[in-house]
Amino acid sequence: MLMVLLRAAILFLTAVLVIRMMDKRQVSQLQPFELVIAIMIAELAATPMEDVGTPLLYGVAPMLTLLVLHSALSLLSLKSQRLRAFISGKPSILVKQGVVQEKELRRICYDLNDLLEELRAGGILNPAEVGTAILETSGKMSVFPRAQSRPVTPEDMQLPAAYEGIPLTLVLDGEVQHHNLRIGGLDEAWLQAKLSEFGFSGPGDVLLASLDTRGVLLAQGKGSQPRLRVAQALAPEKVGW
Amino acid sequence: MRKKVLSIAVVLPLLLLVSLLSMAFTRSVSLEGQEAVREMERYLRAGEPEAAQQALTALCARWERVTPWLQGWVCHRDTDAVAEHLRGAQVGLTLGDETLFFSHTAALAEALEHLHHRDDVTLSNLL
Repeated sequence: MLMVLLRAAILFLTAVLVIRMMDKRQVSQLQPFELVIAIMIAELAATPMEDVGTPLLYGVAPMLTLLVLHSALSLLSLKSQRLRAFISGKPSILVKQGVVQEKELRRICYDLNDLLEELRAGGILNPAEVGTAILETSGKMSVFPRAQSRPVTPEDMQLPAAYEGIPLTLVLDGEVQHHNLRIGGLDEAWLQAKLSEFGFSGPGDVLLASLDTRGVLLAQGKGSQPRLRVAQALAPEKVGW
Repeated sequence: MRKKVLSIAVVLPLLLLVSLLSMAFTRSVSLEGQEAVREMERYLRAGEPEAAQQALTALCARWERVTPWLQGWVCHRDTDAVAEHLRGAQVGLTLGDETLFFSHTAALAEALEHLHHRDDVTLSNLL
């Protein structure tokens, strides 16, 4: 029985390593051949896991082979558009300038009800508001409203918009993220000072501290009644990332 | 991109190396085993049961040495089949039962041949 547990652990770790070596994608973004590989890996791990008479190598070697094949196909797809189209297919434009492309729908056997469902999932209730809808090679539908129906942007109002970059996570579950402090050109002394201003004794008391590109620091404490503090901590012109 | 190149450049040669080495090892064990079986049968047909026993003992000893390695890539079912027929042949020889001995050596030869035939790169194995 112990052997089954050990083998299960080894095969699980191998499967995780192989998946990790592939691209970081969510299941909904997998290309068809990647989905096949994911399913096959699960199947390959299962048989040696439950049958101690089957060598572990019968699961590990095929998994590694799939990893090599995936890597080779991915690299070749990068180099060759034709190969990429052959393996992954091409996106299909199902709605163009507000008009449903009936011929394309029939060609890919895509039901009109499915199209309406995807439009709703994309946040568009009224088909009259759709400008473009594209069925991606992963099966996901990208939906874009007509220009008149989309939300107003600062550019439409001719308003200047400040730069909005990626906020830096400075403390995560009590641990200081030194790498992010360096990116922001800050140090632990600065962080300690700011957290003290917020009423925290130190990073250990903080569940999450995040500094955005406007220089606003958010800090939430730990505990059953966490304190939440949001305040300007850095002058906007000193934001350098 | 680096991970992909790494997986092809490192993992692929490693897989090929392990495959080729395991194939070579299995083939060597299988062919030597089959030769030993033919030798035992020759000895017994020539009326030399002691020589046949010596050959069988040597084969059993070699089999015990290689089994732990072989089971890294061969199913226990296949290695157990060889062990079973080795014991059967031993029983036949001990009892002086030639029919039993030869039936087990025939099965033993087949089981040993099966070990490396399953790894051969042939169309029938592929299909």
